Amino acid sequence: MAPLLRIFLAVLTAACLAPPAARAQLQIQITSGVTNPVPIAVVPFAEAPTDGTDVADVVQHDLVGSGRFTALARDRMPARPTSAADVKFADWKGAGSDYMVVGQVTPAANGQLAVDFNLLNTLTGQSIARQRFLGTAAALRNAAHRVSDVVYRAITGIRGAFATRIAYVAVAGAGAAQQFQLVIADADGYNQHLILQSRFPIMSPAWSPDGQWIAYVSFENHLSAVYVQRVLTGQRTRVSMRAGINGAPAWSPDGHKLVLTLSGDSGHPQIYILDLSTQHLTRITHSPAINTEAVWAPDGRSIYFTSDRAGEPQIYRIGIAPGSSPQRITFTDEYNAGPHVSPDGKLLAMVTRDDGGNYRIAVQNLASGEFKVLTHGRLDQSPSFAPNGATIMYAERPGRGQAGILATISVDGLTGLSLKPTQGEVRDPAWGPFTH
Amino acid sequence: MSEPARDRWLSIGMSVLLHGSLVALLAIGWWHFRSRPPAPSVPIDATVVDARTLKGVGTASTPAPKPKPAPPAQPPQQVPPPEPQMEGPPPPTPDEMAMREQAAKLEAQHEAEAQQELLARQQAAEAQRKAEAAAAEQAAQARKAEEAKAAAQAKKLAEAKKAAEATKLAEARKKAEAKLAAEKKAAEEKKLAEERQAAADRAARLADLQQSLQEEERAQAARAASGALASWQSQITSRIQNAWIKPPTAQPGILCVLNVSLVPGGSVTGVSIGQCNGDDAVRQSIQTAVYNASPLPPPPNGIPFPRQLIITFKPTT
Amino acid sequence: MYRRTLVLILLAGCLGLAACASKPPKPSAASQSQASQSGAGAESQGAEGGANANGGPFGNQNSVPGPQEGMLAKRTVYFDFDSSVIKGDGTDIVAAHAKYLSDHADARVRLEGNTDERGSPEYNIGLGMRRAQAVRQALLLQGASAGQITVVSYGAEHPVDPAHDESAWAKNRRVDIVYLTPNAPPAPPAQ
Repeated sequence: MAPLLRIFLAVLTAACLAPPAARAQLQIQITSGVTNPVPIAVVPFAEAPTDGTDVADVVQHDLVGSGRFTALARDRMPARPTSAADVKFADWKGAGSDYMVVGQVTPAANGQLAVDFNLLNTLTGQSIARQRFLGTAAALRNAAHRVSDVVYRAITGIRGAFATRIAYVAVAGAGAAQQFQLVIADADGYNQHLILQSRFPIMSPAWSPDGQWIAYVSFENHLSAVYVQRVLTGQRTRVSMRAGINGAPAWSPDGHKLVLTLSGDSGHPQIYILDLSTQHLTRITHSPAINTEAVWAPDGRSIYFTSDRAGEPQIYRIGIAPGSSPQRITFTDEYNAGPHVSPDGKLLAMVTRDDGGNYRIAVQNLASGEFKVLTHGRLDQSPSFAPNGATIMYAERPGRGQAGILATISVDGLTGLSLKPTQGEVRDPAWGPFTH
Repeated sequence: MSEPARDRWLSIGMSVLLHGSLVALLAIGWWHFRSRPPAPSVPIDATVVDARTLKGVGTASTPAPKPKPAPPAQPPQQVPPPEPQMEGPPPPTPDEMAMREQAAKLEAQHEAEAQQELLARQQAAEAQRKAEAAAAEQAAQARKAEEAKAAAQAKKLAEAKKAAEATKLAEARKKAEAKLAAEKKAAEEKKLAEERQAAADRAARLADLQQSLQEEERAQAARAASGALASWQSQITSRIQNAWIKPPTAQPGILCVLNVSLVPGGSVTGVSIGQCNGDDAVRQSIQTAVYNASPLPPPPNGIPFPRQLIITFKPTT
Repeated sequence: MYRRTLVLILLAGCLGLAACASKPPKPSAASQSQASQSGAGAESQGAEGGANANGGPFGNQNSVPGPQEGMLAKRTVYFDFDSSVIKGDGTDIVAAHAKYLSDHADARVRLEGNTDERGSPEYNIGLGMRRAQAVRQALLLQGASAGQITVVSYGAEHPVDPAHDESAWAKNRRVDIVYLTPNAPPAPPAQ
């Protein structure tokens, strides 16, 4: 283009950009925000049923426990509306809640209950989410957790995991009267169901991907054996009782295989894959060390496991395909064990021992290698990711005189909760999958 | 001791009985244990089976089947008498025979004549065909000769034409080239003239614009000297930033534009989402942020409150 | 009269015996119970708390007291933290049991490896097994045969002292030697 033409165009552009004197057109750009908890009001639902489940209370407890919400106290609520039509938004603006949940529990057909709720933005006056859950009175807590899931997702963008279940081992008594129990409960610790009881240790429960089966290790024959048990019926099958160690079962993402630790009578513990339909065993590791605690990556193509082939235990990854060689993953601290992969495959949770000899839960970003210690205990163990990857449950052994409890920590390390048993101690938690 | 003889015999008898039964017992017992075989150590509940009683067991040879006895000769059956045949037409009379003969002769004659005619016709047709073929051939040959002549003539003509055309073309080309060259020259000259003119125009306009720009700059400088506009802008920005509770899904790469309606007091009266690639949680959060930042701080003196604001959410962390 | 009655009674008794004598003797049923299916059945109760010769609080339906002379009465071998090297008088204890096993081919033992409660549970199963294997190797080298020894690891799941301090941990880092019924069948083979 001729040089004079270029100058002409440049000048024109400059002229257009110069703000005309008449209009002040303001452009604002927001590049950051805050990560405070979202203020929400969960208004008590109409007609709470007689079994004592307060749906709004369960929802509030779920949301606040996640660390991402603060809830308005009931005595500061300006009113108790139970449907959107009843809400006078002007009254609620002063209360400081950005969102509110209103709802009702009403009888439905076949002796069931209907839980209706509406999530409203108090500032815009709009309804964000509105749904009905039907169920029996016994399942009312589950309906409340479903409400929490919807509210959580609408406001944080993350799928809620409040309506999921956990499995854990409970130990009561001591000496000859000691009892080991395998228990399934809601993720908040309620609705416990005993699925195995024994005088001998039970370890390492692992949920199948569809939530129908649990694999575990039992010493009921004075020797270790791996069982799989159907959760609904209690029907169980022993899948391995070979000489030596039978341990650390974990399900493949397609639910057809188990990865196991087997040692034989005189060998070192090695990782094997057992095909549950063909009973075919494939050996994965071949090193003269302790190789155990294998878990699958969510794409089903590699396995993470603990190995002390380098001296102290560290975490390695190996591909499923034959001929793969293991690759060391952890390099921070001298002791890293008990791996568990997040559902999106991006984070690895583990037990790490720091320089002070404290065993704590840490997460490592598998892409960047960034390593972050999340907990602050002395003897933390057995991390297990929630199926939405937002929280990790683990076993905490507090100081002397205190029994083991379960605890959760958010993945950003900011929010923690404890689940204390009423008696005895609990350990070895396994967080179940989404079931709806 | 004195006892009657009877008693003594009774005593002897009973004694004998007693001793005898004892001896008998011993004998029986001894005989029992000798004759009873030891119980088998492995209890088998089985009975011995005679293989011959099993059906279908193949090793025993089955006797060869006896040949079937010849069927007994049957007495010859009585053959039924043949059925009587249907009656045919009565045989012809001699007159009729003669008439038939004549007719037959006539027919034969007719046939022979017909055949001869056919033959003659065929021959005639054949001869005609041959004549036609010959004629056609001749005609064809004559045509060929003519065509050859015509072709030769045409060729000559064409060649002459070509030559003429070629010369014409060459001339025309020369003419065209000359024309083009002339036109180009003219156009170039025109362009140059126009450019000069445009440049002159531009220079004039530039002078004008520069003047107005300078005026604008002076005005802006006046405003900017106090820093009011910039600070008002950053006031609003930080107000909204502090009010924006970022959901975890508001990651770098998200870009959402809000059109905000204001009233002069600075209160937000309406919000509408323009272009936005965020999920529902992001959309809720930005609307909530703006409402929570409302009412916006008033602008500095001299600047009227805008009725519309465009707020762009573009997280960088 | 009196004598006659007596003889008659005697005669009747002899005839009765004759009737009985014709029955064959019953075979005695001796059943061998296998150890693989444990259930609610007869489980002997071990002593409360503390490691003892019979393997602690589980009780063992197959365990027997075993030899008690001198060193043989000691059934526990201890280890340092993160180590599978037999320490202290553990080597003498192992030597004594090895000699006993070598002299008594029908004797059977189960070696139970344990760790303290620190660290990851399944990794501790591996550590306990490493300790039990160390004792097994030492026994084999000193005269025991492989068929006499079963090995199991309880990791951190079977502590003798549930406290959370170093003295308890030291007591838990151990291998227990449990004598089983002589000639007891070996551990169940690969399933």
